Parts: sequence; C-alpha cells; structure tokens
Amino acid sequence: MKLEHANLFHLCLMIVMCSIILATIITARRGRRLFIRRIPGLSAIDETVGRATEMGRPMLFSVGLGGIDPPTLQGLGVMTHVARLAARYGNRLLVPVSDPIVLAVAEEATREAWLAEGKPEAHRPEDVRFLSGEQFAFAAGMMGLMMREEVASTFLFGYFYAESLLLAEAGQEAGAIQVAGTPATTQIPFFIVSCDYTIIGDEYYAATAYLTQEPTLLGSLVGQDVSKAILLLLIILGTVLSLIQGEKANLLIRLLAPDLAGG
Amino acid sequence: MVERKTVFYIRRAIFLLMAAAVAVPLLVRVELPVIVGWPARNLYEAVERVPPDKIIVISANWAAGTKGETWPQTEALIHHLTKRGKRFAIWSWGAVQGPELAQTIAEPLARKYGHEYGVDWVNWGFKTGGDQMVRGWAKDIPGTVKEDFFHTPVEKLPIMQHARAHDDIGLIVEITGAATVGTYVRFLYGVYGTPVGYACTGVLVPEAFPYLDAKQIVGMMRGLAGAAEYEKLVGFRGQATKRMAAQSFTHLLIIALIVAGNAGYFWRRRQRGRMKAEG
Amino acid sequence: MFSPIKSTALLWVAIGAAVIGWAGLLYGLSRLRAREKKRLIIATTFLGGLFYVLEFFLPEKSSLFFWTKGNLNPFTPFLAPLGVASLAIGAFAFMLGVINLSLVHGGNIFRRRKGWYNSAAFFFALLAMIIFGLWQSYSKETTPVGKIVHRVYECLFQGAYVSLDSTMFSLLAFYMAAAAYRAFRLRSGEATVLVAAAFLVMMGQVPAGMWATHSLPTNQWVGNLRAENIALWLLGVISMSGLRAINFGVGVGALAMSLRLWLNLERGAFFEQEF
Repeated sequence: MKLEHANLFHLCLMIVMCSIILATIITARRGRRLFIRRIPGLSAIDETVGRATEMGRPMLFSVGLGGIDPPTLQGLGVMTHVARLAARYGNRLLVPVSDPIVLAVAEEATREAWLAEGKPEAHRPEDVRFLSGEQFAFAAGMMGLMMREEVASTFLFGYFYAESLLLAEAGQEAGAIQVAGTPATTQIPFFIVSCDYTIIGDEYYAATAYLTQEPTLLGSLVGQDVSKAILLLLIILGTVLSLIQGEKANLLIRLLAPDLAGG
Repeated sequence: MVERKTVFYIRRAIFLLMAAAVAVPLLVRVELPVIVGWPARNLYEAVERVPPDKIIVISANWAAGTKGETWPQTEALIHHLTKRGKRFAIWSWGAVQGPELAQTIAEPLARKYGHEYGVDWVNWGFKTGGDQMVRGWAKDIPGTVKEDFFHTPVEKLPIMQHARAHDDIGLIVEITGAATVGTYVRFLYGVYGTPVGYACTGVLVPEAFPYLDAKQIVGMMRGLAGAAEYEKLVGFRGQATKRMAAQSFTHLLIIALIVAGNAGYFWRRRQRGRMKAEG
Repeated sequence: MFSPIKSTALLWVAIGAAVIGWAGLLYGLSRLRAREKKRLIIATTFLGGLFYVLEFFLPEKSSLFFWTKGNLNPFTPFLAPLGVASLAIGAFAFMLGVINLSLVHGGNIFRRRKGWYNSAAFFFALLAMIIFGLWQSYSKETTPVGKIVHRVYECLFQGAYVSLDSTMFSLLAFYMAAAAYRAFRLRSGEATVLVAAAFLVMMGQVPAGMWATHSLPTNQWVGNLRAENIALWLLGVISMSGLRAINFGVGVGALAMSLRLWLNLERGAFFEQEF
C-alpha cells in the first residue's frame, strides 16, 4: 500500500473524521452537556495526591522519554493538574525529565501552577530536573530519586520504553501508590502488573478532558468515539466484502489501496 | 496482609533464584533442541532470495542496553550474509552506538569468510536526520550517506556501485530495541515495495504481528529465541543457542513462582475464611 | 534540495547575517506584548502544520502543479531540509540539560549536602567522557599518546558505559520475576484466562516448552497443539487483534489532539494561560 501520499479515499475519510471532531467541539462549546464514563485511574489522582500530603512525603511525576510530541504534551497537561493539587495542599512534586525542551516546558508549567494557586514563593524550581537523555541512565536516576526521596505517589504519564518496569517496580519498593498511563502498547502489561491504576490506550488521550471537564476537550472526546465507530463500520464492511468479493475484488481495498488490489 | 519484612526477604530470594536460573545453565553446558518457527524461517528465506546484484541493508538501530538480544540477532544475520557471500551495508539513524557495535560483530565474520570491506560490505555509520532523512536516503544513498564509519567518502568504495538508491536494496533488516520498523514500512515498503525484515527484542514481538500479518514485513527474529532459530537455520551454534537453556530455566522459574504465589494466596484466603467462620 | 556553496567569504557573510538576524528576531519577540506573542505562536503553529497537511494530502504528481518540473508536488522537496532544520533548532536545547545538571550537582557540592560526593563523581564522569571522547576522535591511534587516549576511551565507553547500560536492562529479568510472583493471582475467571495464556506463550517460546510437545506430528491436525504453534496462534491472532484495537484508539486520540494543537483548540492546564 502506497503510504507516502494520501489518495482520494484517505482524504475523504480524514475530512469526515476531522469534521466530526470539530462539530462535536462546537456543539460542546455551545453548552451541550456531555457524559464521560468514570475512569478509575484518573479518579484516583486526587486521592493519591491527598494520601501523599497526609503522609508528608513528596510525589513524583514522569512524562517519559519523548520529546515535545502529543503523548508528552498530554502528560504535561496531567502534570499541571497534579502540580496545582500539590500547590494547593502544600506538597512537593518532583519532575525528572529526559529531554531538555521538555525541561523548559515543565519548569514553566510547574511555576505557573504554583502561581495559579497563589503560592509562587512555595515553588521549588530544583524539583524539576534533567536526569539524562539516555534511556537507562534516566531510569537509574529516577529509581534513585524515588528511593532517596521516599515518594508516596508516582505518576507515570507519557511514552515509555523498556525502563517502564524498572520505574514501576522501584516505585513499588518505595511503597508508593502508582498511577500510570501510556500510549505505548508494549509497556501496558508492565504497568498493569506493577501499578495500582493504569490508563490504557485512548483513555490516555481522554485524561485532560476527564480531569478538567473542559467543553472543548469533552467535545473532542465524543468526536473521537464517533470516528472510531466509523472505522469499526468500515472494518465490518471490509470483512463482509472480502467474504463476498474476495480480497482482490474487495471494493474497500480497491479504494484504500489500489496497488494491493492490482488496480 | 503479608508483613513488609517478609516481602523484603521473599523479593531477595526471588532475585537469588533468578540469578541461579540464569547462571547455572550457562556454567553447566545444557543443550536443548531449538525448533524453528515460521517468522524466523520467512526471514531466512527472504535473505536467501536476494539476488547477487542487490545489497542487503542492516539497520543497526540498537544500543548497548539491548545487547543481550540484539547482539546475537546481528551476529546470526551477518553470519548468514558472509557465509552466503551476500553484499551488505550497516547503518543506523536511531542509535549512535549501533554501527560501532555491529562493526565489532562484522569484522571477525568478514575475515572468516573472506568478505572484503568496501567491496563486499560497508559500514555507513550513524546518520542524523531521523526518519525524514530515510525518505531522502531511499532516493539517493551516496548523497545522503556521504562518508562511511571510517570517514572515507563512500563514492571511493566499489560496493557503492551496487547501492545507489532503493531499487538496489534487495532487503532491509531492522534490528532494534525500539519500535522503529514503522519508518521502513512507511517509507521503503509503503512507497517502493522494498522487502523489510525485522529483528527485535522480545517485548516488541506482539506489536510486530500486525505488520507480519499484513505482509508489510517479510519475516522476524523474535528476541533471543528468534536469534537461536536463525542460528539453527544458518548452521552454527552461537550465543543465542547457548543462552536458550538459561531462558528456558528462567521461564520455568517464573511459572513456578506464579504457582507458588497463587498457592500462598489461596492458603491465606482459606485461613481467613476459617477464622471468619470461627468468629 | 539545497546544495552547499563553497566560499569562505560567503560563509562569513552567512554567519554574520545569522547572528544579526537571530539577535534582531529575539529583540523583536521580546518587545511584543503577550497577546501579540500568542497570535504569532498560533500563526506559526498553523502554518507549520499546514505545510505537512498539504504535502501529505496533495498527490505526488498532478496537472495542478503546472509550475513545477514534472508536475510534482511542490512541498515534497522541502520535507527533508525542514526536518533537518527542526533537528538543528532542537539541538540548541542540548546544553539546557547539561546546565541544569551542573546547577543541581554543583549546588550539592557547594552546600555539602548529603551525598555530595556522588555529585563530584558526576562531574568527574562528565568531564572524562567529554575530554576523552573528543580527544580520541581527533587523535591518531598510531601515536603513543593517541594509543593511550583510545585505550582510555574504550575503557570508559565499552568497559563502563556499555556494560552499565546492559546491566540496567538486565535488571528487568529480576523485576519481572518479582512482579509475576506478586501480581499474577487467580482472583477471577479473567485472571485465570490471562495466566493460562501467559503460560502457553512462555512455554511456546523456549526449547523446554517446545520439547514437551515435540513428539506431536507436524503434518497432522494434532500438530496445531504443539507449544510453538499455540504460542504463535495466541500472539498472531488473539493478541494482535487486541493490539490493533488499542492502536486504532490511540491513533484516533492522537489525531484529535494534533487537530486541537494545530487549530489552537487545546484547552486546560497550561494551554489557555497567557505567555
């Protein structure tokens, strides 16, 4: 299947999906109330922050190994929510990062969070620190940080690779409550096994909508669900057509990937 | 609730058992037969099918951290290529250490089978630019690569006559500990139909099956086991084969630990039930 | 796309123009008010995203592109240089990490905080790697000094860094065993199915498991019950379907987030705050 440029079918599908998302955003902004089901991991964030404050121990938030990309930005969004809670309750939030640009954004985000809660003097800039750009050096640094600071809660929201289990197990050993969310499908099993709450797949991208209840984000979430329903219908249609017409003659394949159908 | 001290000692005991499960089979030579699966066989056959006028590109996008699995995979593949007299090139755009580590593997094998550097094989080294650079590389390899691992201009190397652009590539094999195969699927296979092979760490295997099923990758070495299967196909007993006994023992240990953990869980549940019944 | 022009005078003019240009740009940006800065960011984000959208969705070749040679997509030749340019801009930030580390560890040493000697070790390692890493790149191994430098670099890289990197990765095996012991409890029917599937996949991947069923003939239906075939079926059919479903959801979620970022619709947390 030629993937360098879109064909007409791809363009139409993308226009349909983007239109649906934008339409639901506009509808939500006009005041329509939208329902979002309970996501246990995200509901537990407030409780986790409260627990750490009661124990008088700091919290730790990691946005993973990515640079400035959608998964990391989503993680930073959740981090800012947690930072505001930390500022409100007078607790520390350690934010180790592995990318210099993410360091700058995270520093600014935490500073703004403490400012928004009216406690700029309580903000500790040294709590946001660069550890290393190398995967396992970052993991080693973060594991040491968790153990030395005896964190009560850890939040792992971002793109993780093989170091995910190391980080989660270190948090376990430190006795921390752990909430994790990642779009990296290969690391989900490790987080499920080692963390108290895990956010899977597209629940990760619903996190900021869930936490802020912002109409734009909720509308976007509904639009995503409708788009997924369309994709599901296309899969079912394609399967049925393959059974009736066979793979080469399948109308959907001829539209999606003409080169595969020999067209 | 199991006491914290008990948990502390149980964890250490598990670590000791794991160390023993890995070390003992390595020290005491234990041979276990390796059965070749279809993903490794497909990759082997894809390499065999590459015609003599084409080059095989080894994308060594791995670092020292994943050495345990990716080193034997690279070694098995290069062994195959040098033994069969296939022209190949090594490069990386995702891991700085990759070409250096692959060079260490390739040199003795090339000497053993009389593969001459610059004529039969080359190491292009690490190139910056990420996956966008791969698009330009596919259209003009010498223009993108410019110099090899030893800073020699590539135009001076005879092998480059057989490596001008994507249509000179008979197969590209991505060896990695990160999910970077999508770049080649998008920009090589997806645009030019160049066959892509994959050798990855065990944790990436489930994620690779959609590509295998869609035939976007021709074959795969699944972690250390895949490397052992490949070694069997090539016909030598390398690091992967030697380590399969250790891997078997550790898998059996993990199964035993799961059984032990559940036995303890059910026993405690029964105790709690009894205490509740007794009031 | 862009071919280098070799000229020393032109090089100095380019460097001077770049320095003056950047200084002017930074001065101009600092003079802007917060609202104007936000509008500039929105416009730049939109134009940047628009380039990639047009490049992908416009066809490779079309009669619409009458002004280009061969009627080719006019945006495609700029893809690689833009990618390199964004990498170069990102590289400006590489010193940020080193500066941050130096401030943190320097502060530890200066104030003699607990464990300050670890910070001293950090500086020792950093300087050793920088010095010997650069030195070995520019020294010849044939000279006596060059030989020592290369040996020290090999010791630091292969002996220390590579070994430490592999060691950290190998910790996974121990942690996996501890996590498996702790977490795999047969609390429910689903958990039982999960553990059973894990058992089958593990046994089908290693010789010990394959040996247990090696006597089953491969050319009959009962050969499907061989450990490696069951494992491959679970990975290639059941697991793959689930992963594909998750990937669809993640993909649509990433599309929605990218659309919001591109059109400045992202809200919540730091996005709605004034810069």
